[in-house]
Amino acid sequence: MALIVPGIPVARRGVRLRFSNGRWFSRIVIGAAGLAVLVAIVAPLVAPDSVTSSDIANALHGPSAQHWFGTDDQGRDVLWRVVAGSRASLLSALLVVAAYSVIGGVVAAIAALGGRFLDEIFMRFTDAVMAIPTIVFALGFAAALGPGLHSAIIALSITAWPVTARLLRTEIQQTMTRPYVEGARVLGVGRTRLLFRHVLPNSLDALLVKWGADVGSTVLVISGLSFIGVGPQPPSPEWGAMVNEGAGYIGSAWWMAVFPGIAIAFVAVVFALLADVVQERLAAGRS
Amino acid sequence: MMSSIEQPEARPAAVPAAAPSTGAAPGTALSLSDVSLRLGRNAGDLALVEGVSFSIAPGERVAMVGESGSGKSVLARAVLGLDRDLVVSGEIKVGSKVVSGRGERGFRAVRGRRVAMVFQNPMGSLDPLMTVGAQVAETLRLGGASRATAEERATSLLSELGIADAARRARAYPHEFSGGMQQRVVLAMALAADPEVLIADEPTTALDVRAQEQVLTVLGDVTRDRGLTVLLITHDLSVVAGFAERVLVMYAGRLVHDDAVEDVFAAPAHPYTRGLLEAIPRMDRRPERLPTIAGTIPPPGARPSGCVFHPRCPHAMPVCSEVDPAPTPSPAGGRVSCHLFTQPEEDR
Repeated sequence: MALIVPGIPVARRGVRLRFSNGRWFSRIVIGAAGLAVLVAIVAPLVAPDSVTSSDIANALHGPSAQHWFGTDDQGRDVLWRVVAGSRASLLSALLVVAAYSVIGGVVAAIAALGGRFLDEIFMRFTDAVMAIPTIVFALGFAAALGPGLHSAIIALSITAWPVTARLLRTEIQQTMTRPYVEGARVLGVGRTRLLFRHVLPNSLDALLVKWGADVGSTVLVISGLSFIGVGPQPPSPEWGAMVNEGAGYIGSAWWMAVFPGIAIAFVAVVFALLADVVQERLAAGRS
Repeated sequence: MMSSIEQPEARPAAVPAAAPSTGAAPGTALSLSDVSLRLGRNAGDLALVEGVSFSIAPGERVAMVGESGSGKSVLARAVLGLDRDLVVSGEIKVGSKVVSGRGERGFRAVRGRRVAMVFQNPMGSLDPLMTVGAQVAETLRLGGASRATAEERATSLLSELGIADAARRARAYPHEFSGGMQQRVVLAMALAADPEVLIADEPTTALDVRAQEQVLTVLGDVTRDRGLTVLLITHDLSVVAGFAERVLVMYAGRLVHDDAVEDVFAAPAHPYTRGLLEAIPRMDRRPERLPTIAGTIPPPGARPSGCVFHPRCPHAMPVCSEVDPAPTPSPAGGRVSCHLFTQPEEDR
């Protein structure tokens, strides 16, 4: 609420009405996001071994009835690699967003509600963390813990929370001034309940949009990390790495880069829209 | 006028239990003695409210009136310790329990269960993300009710407050209600806490005239049924007439007048009260211009010496600019802070 200028929601509402009119739209978005997560959870369990083993004889075949998305330079089925790669890409992106949302949320709540002294300390600490470059930090982390998905997830979670903390702190402070918060306090609602039942739900408006957009960008950052050797290592499938590998063959075997690229775009769009749908439901009650 | 001085503590028979004294006599629901609210700890700091004392008997319905900036809202909020930046001096008692001077703890003990408060803006007073039923039930659950009982009681409270088809409407969100209906929900939340004292801070100001009347009626009915003590804060004297038994008049941070409602309307003792009443448009008299009180209310920090009202008072005397009038018994038996009632007749 705080960061949305009064004029903007009105303009956005106009766009939404045309674009997301009716419940079918939100159902499709929720369904698509749910499907993506389901695939990410189930796929690695059912994926054949051929996802990581090479079969040079079948390399660089175009899309066919047998290999819908074609095969890559190692002769692996691109469809299966995209599906199996959803774990490294989507699940870890969700994990990262969830982890830093929690860290940022705790910091924001303490800063906003803990009084001026704690606010000062936590916010300066936030500023300090904000200055840490993610990539450099991740490299250091990989050096310490060894390269792999876990290093990437931890490094991203630790460096990405400050924006959430800053935003949410302001939102919480704003929400705390709402009459219904005071009203609840007057009627004897305790601090914890006040925070979780009234203040937080009413402060997440802008954050939801950010988190939704972050799922897509985190997929990209994980790809970037795996490109510089910090994230998941070959041959384990990961969308960003697949795009990178495929980029070299874009003239001869476009499918290698295009299909994982579509997967990234799909996930980014679906989660951004999901955030919008949820926010719209939440905003319905606000004037 | 002189006769009243012979019966200093007398009250009109209509409200026998309400001794307008500063002391917290047993049998008071809410009492303030010498309460001042300042923006800081030092003597020189801005005082929003100064030296206010009154007590309200259980079951009594009192209206507090005054212009914007007279300190009535901030005083009401101080009863529940809502403005933490304000320094409260004096003593605030709920029943026989002193709530002031103990920080948050003192106030937390009385919030909801003993004193509930309703604010001006009903839409803002409701959490936009919770159904109205859930919000009423939340207050009930704080009182220890189980989920099922709370929901059931919430529905019956909502219907008691005049919300039709309450069982279905309880599942609706605040924005699906009109202003008047929202204020009924807010009232239901306050009543759900089963308080002894209800403070209503301009509960009808944000509503249109019809909704005002309906909400006031419903507020009157439910508080009468429960024998609730009510402190109604308003700047609308027409609201006072139909609702309250007693009127407290605030001006520039002081309580200047405290009388039974009939006396206030029949023969207002304080010149300020009289000015307020004369400024109400009337159907039976059509003056060229509506009478007004000349000047504006002085802001905190620019309040005059002596009686705060003297620069605007048509009866101002030399003494008024020098001496702050202490509360004295009013002719009708209440209390009034005005030199017209402290000076001997020949000096006026």
